[in-house]
Amino acid sequence: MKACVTPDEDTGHEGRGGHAGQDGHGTTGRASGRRGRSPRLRPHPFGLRTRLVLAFLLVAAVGCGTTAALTYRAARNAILEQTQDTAVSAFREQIDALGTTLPIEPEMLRDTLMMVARQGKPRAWRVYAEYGTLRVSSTDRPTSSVITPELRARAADDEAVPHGSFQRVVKNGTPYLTIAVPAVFLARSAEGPPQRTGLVFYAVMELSEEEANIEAMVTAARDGALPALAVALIPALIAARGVLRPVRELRHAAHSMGRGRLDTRIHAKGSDELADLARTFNESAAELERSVAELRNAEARARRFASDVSHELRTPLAGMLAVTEVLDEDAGSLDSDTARAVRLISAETGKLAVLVEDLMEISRFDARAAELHTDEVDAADCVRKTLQQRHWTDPTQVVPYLTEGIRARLDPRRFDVVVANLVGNALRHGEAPVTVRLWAEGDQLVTEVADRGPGIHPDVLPHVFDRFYKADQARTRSAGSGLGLAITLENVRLHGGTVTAADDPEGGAVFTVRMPL
Amino acid sequence: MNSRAATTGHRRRAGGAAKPRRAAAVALLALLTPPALAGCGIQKSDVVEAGGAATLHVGPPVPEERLVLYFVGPDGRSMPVIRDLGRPFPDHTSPSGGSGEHVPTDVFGPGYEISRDDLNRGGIVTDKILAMLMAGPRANETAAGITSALPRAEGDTPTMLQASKGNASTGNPARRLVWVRTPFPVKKLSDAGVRQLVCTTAYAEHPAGLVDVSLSGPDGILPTARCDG
Amino acid sequence: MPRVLLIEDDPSVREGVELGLRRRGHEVRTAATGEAGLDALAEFRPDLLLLDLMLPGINGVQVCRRVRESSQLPIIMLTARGDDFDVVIGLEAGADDYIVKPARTEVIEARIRAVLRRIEEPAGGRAAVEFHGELAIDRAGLTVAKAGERIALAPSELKLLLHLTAAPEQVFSRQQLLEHVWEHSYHGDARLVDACVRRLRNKIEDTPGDPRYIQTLRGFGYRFGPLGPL
Repeated sequence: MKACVTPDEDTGHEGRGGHAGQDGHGTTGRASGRRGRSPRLRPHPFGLRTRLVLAFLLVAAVGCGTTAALTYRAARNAILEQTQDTAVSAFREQIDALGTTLPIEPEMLRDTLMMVARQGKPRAWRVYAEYGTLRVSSTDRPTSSVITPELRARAADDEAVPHGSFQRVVKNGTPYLTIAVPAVFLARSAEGPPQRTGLVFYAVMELSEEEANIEAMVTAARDGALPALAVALIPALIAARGVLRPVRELRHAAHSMGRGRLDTRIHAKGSDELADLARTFNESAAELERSVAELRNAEARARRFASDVSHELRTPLAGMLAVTEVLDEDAGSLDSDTARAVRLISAETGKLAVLVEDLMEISRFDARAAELHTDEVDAADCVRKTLQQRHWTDPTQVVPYLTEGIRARLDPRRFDVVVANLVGNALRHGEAPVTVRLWAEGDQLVTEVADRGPGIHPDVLPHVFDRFYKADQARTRSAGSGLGLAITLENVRLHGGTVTAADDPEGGAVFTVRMPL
Repeated sequence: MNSRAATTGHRRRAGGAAKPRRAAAVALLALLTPPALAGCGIQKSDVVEAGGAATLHVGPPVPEERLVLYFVGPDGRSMPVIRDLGRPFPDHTSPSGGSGEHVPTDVFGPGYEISRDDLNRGGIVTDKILAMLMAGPRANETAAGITSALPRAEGDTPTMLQASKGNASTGNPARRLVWVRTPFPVKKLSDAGVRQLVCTTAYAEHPAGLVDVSLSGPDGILPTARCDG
Repeated sequence: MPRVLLIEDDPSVREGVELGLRRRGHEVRTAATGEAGLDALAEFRPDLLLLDLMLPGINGVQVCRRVRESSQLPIIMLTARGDDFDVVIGLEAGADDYIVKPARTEVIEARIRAVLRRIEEPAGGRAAVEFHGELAIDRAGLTVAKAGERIALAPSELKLLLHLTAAPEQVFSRQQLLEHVWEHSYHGDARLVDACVRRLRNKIEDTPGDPRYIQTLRGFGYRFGPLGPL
């Protein structure tokens, strides 16, 4: 049977890389999201179905058992009581009619007893009489070992009004009914209280037939209870199914919701608690869907706003940027203050253009409008061209170690941005020489950019790929746009790869890009 | 289900709700199972009272013509015997005179015969009956283990001194108080012996034995007693 | 110095670019709409057309098509977004290159020069007219004829064909072609190459879907020939 909760062997350490302090170095800009499953409770050893069925069977068993036990006890007591009452009263009746002398005459009494013994009711009995030291019986033995001293004491008790009594005795596995009836007589008158004669009659009756009857009842109860339990299994399974199907649906729905399908709903029918639960689930799901939609709308609006703003900025910038050259050229002929102002405007216009361009790029990523135009290229060529184009050809500044001949399917323009941003970042924040390594590892293209600088502070490490993150809060603006590494991360993700930042134990920061070949 | 399973189940889970529930189930089973299992078959029982005693027809057939003497059984309890009026002892019992054993007689010779009329009168006949009691059980009676707790008769026998009409002092106007004087000390008598004297006297004086009896001996007087109380 | 016609609706961009180019010695005429631009075309007879894609009235792509109907004037598109689908449309319509705004004047001028630059003749005496199958290529006269009929090729198309035929059966990667034909960086937009190849095939191939002259080597790039028996 399937437990409703399945074990998740890996409780996960995702996102740990984001905290550099834990393992010394390393942060990931991993493209893969969180794993779909969250750590779960250990499952109950028995599934809900098992437990339901067991509970059902237990209730049925207890019900059957209790009913059977009570019925059995009542029936057994009834059987025994009837036998006992019949035997006792029959015995007394028969003795009542007897005549004797006092003291008794054993021979005469023996004949009497033989006669009584023949009329045992409801079953044959053996009859004994005790008088003083005399022992008379209907059998060849003067007395019976079944008769207990307690019964004798009770029969002979002369403190109380004389009365008959009986006792069930089990001897050697055979149950017996023993009856004692003391005999009284009217001494000299029919009026006064009867006086004890000292004579006590005993009857011993086997109860094997009653026992057989009772055992037949036990057998019948057992034979009835077991099929009843087996039959109870069917409603138990049906009930379990009835409970479990909505539960299973709920689980699937919750799972589906967890995977982002917020329009998941459960078919809620009926008016029981499970249907209520389903309806509640549906309401919550609808609410959640609405909230998420609102959030998404708000986010989309914010992104569109950023995108629109940058877009609107481009047109004036396009005009400004086209004339910066004019400003630069003519600045020399202006007076010094005006010249400084003009050069400042020119320089800042250039930076603004870069910033707007980067913002546009980020907006495209956010809007998932960024497209990958892959081409199969020589990876080493690609990196070399990037370095050449940026004029990073001084071996004291940038040292490439490129494995030749790797054909990789990538977007050359985006890969160029990745490498250029990483090298530019290393030159800006680290120290030369910056080494660029390129090699293939399995089916991955690994690009590593390392510098000889102070490395990345552990507090900063988790945030290096954040947008506009300032490592040094005091520094208001870096030379770059502040979006370079964020764009790098997005570009690598677009390729289905990962980029990690770490501290080299020997000093300096190491950025590693892994992309599928 | 056993207790081990319950505890391991508990250890494994953080929440403690499972254990009490399981323990309750175990307890329920423990409560239900023994009666169901132990209740099978027929059990022995205690002694149970069931109805009254059986009343025998004791000969001779007419109760009013009986003499009732109270002796003691082997277990120390009273055992009444019934003697016929005036029937000479040797007639009835097995003739064992030749055995040389002295069989005590309760017939003290002429003047001790008891007639049917005597019985209904009471009085003097009581003395005779007491004399029979003092004479002890007969052979057939001793054969049944019947003995007497009274000292052997040494000539004098207890005599009824006086039978008062019922008076206020006894608290029961319907009952007479009968005084019996014994030639032997009464305070040393066993309870069984006292009961022998009281009951024999009571039934001698009244057909239903409804009298109070006070025993007095050379050493004093015993509290008033009844046979039917 | 080349004469440049700039069709741009935004006055600041129009003025800025005009100013920048004029400073560098270009003769620049501007137009604010596509219609005005087309009118100016006949009268001004520019060497090159700088064309904004987003225009009121008839847009840049339509202007591009109109121009190509009658002329092989070099056309460079000005676009706001490099990733735009409009770029592809513009390239399909016959533009030779594009520039993403905002751009410095030096960048614009470099592109203008690159588009206008004549393809360098390989050293060594080669026949003035080469024959490749039905194609006759006159490297000196910069004309191409197929089965004796002259084919009108835009500058980028002509340069691409000349470059490929200079080394028949040699494979050129897109990046190489970008560098040599368009003088872009290695990491430029390979769509330029693909669009140009498509246009060229439409003009010279018998069945553009099954090219004979300009063949694709998946994963590597393009090459001219081998032609094989027809």
